[in-house]
Amino acid sequence: MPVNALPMDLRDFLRVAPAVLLSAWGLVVVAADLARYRRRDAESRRLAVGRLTLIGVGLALASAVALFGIDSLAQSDAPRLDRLLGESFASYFSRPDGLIFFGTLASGLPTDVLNVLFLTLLGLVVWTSTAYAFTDDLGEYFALLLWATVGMMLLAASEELATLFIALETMTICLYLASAFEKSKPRSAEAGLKYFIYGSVSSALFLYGLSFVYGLTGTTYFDAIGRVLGRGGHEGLAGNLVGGAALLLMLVGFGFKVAAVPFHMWAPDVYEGAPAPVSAWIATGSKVASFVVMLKVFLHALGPWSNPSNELMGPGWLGVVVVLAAATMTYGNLAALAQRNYKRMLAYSSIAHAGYILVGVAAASVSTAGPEAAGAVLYYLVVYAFANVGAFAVAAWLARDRDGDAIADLDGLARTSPALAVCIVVLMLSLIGVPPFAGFFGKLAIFMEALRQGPSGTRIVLAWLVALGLFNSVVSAFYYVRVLKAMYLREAPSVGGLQRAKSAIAVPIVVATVVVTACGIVPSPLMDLMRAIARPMLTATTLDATAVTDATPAAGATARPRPVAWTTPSRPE
Amino acid sequence: MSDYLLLTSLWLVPLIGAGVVLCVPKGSERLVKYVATGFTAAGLLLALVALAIYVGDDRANAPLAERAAAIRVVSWPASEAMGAGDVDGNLVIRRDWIPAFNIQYYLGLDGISVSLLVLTGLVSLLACLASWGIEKQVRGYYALFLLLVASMTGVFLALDLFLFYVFFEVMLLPMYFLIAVWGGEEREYAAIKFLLYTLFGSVFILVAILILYFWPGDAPAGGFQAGTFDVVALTTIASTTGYYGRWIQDWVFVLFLVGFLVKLPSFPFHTWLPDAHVQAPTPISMILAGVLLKVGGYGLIRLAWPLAPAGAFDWSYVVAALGVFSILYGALAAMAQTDFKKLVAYSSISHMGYVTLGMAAMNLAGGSGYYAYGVNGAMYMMLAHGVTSAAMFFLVGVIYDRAHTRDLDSLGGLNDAMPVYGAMSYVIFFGSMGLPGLCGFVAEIFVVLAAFHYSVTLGVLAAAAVVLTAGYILWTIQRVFLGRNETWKDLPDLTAREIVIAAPLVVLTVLMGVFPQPLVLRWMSPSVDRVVQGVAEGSARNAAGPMAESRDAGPPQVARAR
Repeated sequence: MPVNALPMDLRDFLRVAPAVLLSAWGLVVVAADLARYRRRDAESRRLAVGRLTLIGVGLALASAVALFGIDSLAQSDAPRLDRLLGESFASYFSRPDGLIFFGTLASGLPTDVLNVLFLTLLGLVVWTSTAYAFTDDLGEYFALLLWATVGMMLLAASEELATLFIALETMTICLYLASAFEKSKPRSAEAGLKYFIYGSVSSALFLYGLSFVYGLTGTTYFDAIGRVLGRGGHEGLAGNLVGGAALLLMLVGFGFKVAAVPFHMWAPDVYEGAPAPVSAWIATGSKVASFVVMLKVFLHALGPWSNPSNELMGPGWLGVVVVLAAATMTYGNLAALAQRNYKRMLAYSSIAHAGYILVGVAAASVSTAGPEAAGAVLYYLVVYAFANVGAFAVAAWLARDRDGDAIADLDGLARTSPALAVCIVVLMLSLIGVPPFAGFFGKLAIFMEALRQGPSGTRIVLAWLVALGLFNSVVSAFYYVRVLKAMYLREAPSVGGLQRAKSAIAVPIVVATVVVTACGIVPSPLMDLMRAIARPMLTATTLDATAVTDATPAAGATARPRPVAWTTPSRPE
Repeated sequence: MSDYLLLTSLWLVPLIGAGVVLCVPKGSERLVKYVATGFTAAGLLLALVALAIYVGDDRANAPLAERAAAIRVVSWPASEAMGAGDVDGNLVIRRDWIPAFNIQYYLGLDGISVSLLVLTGLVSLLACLASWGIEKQVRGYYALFLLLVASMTGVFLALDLFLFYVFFEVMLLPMYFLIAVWGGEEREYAAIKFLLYTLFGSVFILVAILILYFWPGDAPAGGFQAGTFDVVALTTIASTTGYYGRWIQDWVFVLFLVGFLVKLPSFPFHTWLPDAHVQAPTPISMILAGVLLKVGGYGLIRLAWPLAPAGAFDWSYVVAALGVFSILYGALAAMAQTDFKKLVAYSSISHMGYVTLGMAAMNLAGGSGYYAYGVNGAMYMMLAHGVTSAAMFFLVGVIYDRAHTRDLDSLGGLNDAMPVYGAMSYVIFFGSMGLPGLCGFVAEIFVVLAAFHYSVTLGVLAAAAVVLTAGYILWTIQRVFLGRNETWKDLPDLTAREIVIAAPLVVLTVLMGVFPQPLVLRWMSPSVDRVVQGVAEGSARNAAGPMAESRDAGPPQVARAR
């Protein structure tokens, strides 16, 4: 199917400025480390390279914020943009479709917001990385972090399967390497190897699934796939063996990336073995990007296969995702109960959180709020990511001072660093989902979207899924409280306890605390923003699509034009 | 004072207090105590102001639904001046909080909540005074204490289910730490048990709230659509229309019931209470028994019954039987204790059984008159128990500070050594026992009356429990105060501070027994009666089937206001 995209527009590179900047800056960091800092002593070299990396992240963040400003101006006040940028750029930026590079990448507000998120988190992770010495290859380490982030940003922006796969591999290959960077620890090498082997197998399966999709639909563009599949009517996947196989293979790929049961095996070992900042980046950045693209693929491209017959176990992916979600959150929480190791506990907790988010993915496909329902998932991802960056900064603290990562290493922290202990309490509470912290609103938003459905066959099952999710949060309280117990109810060891946290550890913890508290007490702004970007994110149409949608008669009495992917055919009476 | 300022500062003042306490420099423990006491006293003062406005102003004591309907919801931050949508002086405020889900910052007071609010203010002030003996990490203690007070106050103020839930959950954490850090030897076990039980219970509450929010409706209700957390509107809907059908009300009721029975607590969810009480420090026990248990009762009377009247009616016998069983079980278990504090804890379970029974004695034949007795009795029991149990835990703490034992068998003869202490204890214990002329009697007689009218068997059993209560109370008095015991003859009597703490509770025990009508019922029972009226109406309607609402003229008032 020919895609009538505009000819390549060089201005498109402006819109991926953050990614371009970061890619280049990775080289700068490597070169600078080689040329200037190598002869310094370990401590000052680490700080210097870290600072240099942060400058790059700052520049990229500035460009992302600038793009965000331009894009929001293009939507709200176009004449002003005209005056600021001149007519040709202004009209370029206010193009309605928001796709660049022949429609392979999305740009516009959703991408900008996600880029800002990734870069802020990256800044915190880089800062945490300067906290302690776990590797001598600093330039390479920081460059890999940057390039992994480039992968994440492109992954979250991708609108086409091949781009998706390339970005995914860019991200994960960098992370494979980074997780094996603590050469003095065999566990780190084990983590890297394990992550690599599991990851490459699942990537292969994923790619195989993508090829099936291409074979079935003749296109790799999400929107086009959605339109082709949408013609299938309510039969959906019924009798479509290839389609079913494609779906399952893609689920394996995504399941691996987001650590959903039963593809989670790698997560605890990798999180425990990898250096704390790398674990943080795997648990947050990689997960956020994977979930964003999973939302795009499953809701936009494969939306018509969600539950075409309006039954849970009908021919569609909804039932599978529901089962995955239930298994993931239950298994993650129960397994976390047994953990005494802080990083391993966080690993299982992040598996559990993946389960909650999968509930959100399932919910978004059937919620009557349409694509905006995915805003709940995005909100959850933001909150989850910040809380985890803070939590892993604590792991870096443990690694620095105790050379360990047991929960018991936190003993007596409330006495020695009362302020940070309070911050950690807030982070744990947010992860449990106790109001008024943001984790609660994230969970609640997801669960409410799961319940916000018209009368359908899936309603009762999703209600039970929500009930299961709520009980899971009670179970999770038990192991998060263990952290609080260690900090508040145990005495600090007389020698060799945790020292004062320097800014590299304190800042991520404090920033994360501020974010989860602020977004908890005043959840509306972030929630509104996420809901606002969810729609364009999931409805970006390739350029030839307009004509098709216009030609389709509006189904029923729906007032607002719905994206093709959402016109789930109603059940035949 | 505008409503906005008054109702917000009721919960915000203790919260600010918590912040201020944390900012007091290290080493000035006395200052911390003064500051904390000042803030709790201010909280009590505000509660009394609210009570005065409620009692004195006709705008304020009109039915809650009318007052709420008069308010236009203003989005927040409002472009207009603050308070633009409020009708001043009616003790209800509402603002948008999270518009995406129609969640509002919605506070309001009626007779039920204002009485518990004053109780909260009083008990927390006394508990704050009783905390002067705390030596360990004073700033942390008072900060958590004030946070606890703020959240409890918020629970009684909230009229938005979601806001209610938020305050309800915020209570858990300070309580957890107060028990786990400042408690006795088994404190960690008790604290985590408390936390998990209550979290578990609150999940039930959340599920019920979500069901109410998302229910598509069984019968049209004058244009009402779900998707609101507004307690007042939902109450009106539940009592005047068939929007929430009988089947779903059964579910909602059971979910609310389980959630709040954990907090109340009632058999079979009571096992956290004795542990928590025994391990908690004295002032925290006072708060726990005096206020926190009332949150469970308040949830029942404000949410469980009014929001699911038909469900409540269907389940009433089970719940009433559960209440009676709790009364008997608590009394028998109390009798078997040798630990003074555990005895008082079990007596709390027994007394809370009266609350459950009073609420559940739903014989609606021939009007709701007798049922109103039961609910009034339940409310009165909450207040009376708040006064007496706080005092009892305080008195137990006093003796534990001096004798360092709570073993009933090794105590004895305290009356000789500590006559003032003995005198005060007699009043409190008899008040708790339900001696005529003291506060417990009023509550028990109301509840038992309603219970007789509901089921003679349950009535007889509940009345018989009075004997058991008398049994363990008198036996305790005998074991602790009477007789001769050389070991304790040198114990000092109550200090001035301790008298200041105990005296108000003793006075209230007597006053509430002698003047129940002018002191409390005069302004409280109209609100209670309105709840009863709504519940009776709703259960009758839904028992007759969802179509019964078509007999009605016009949509319900609140729905029209929306």
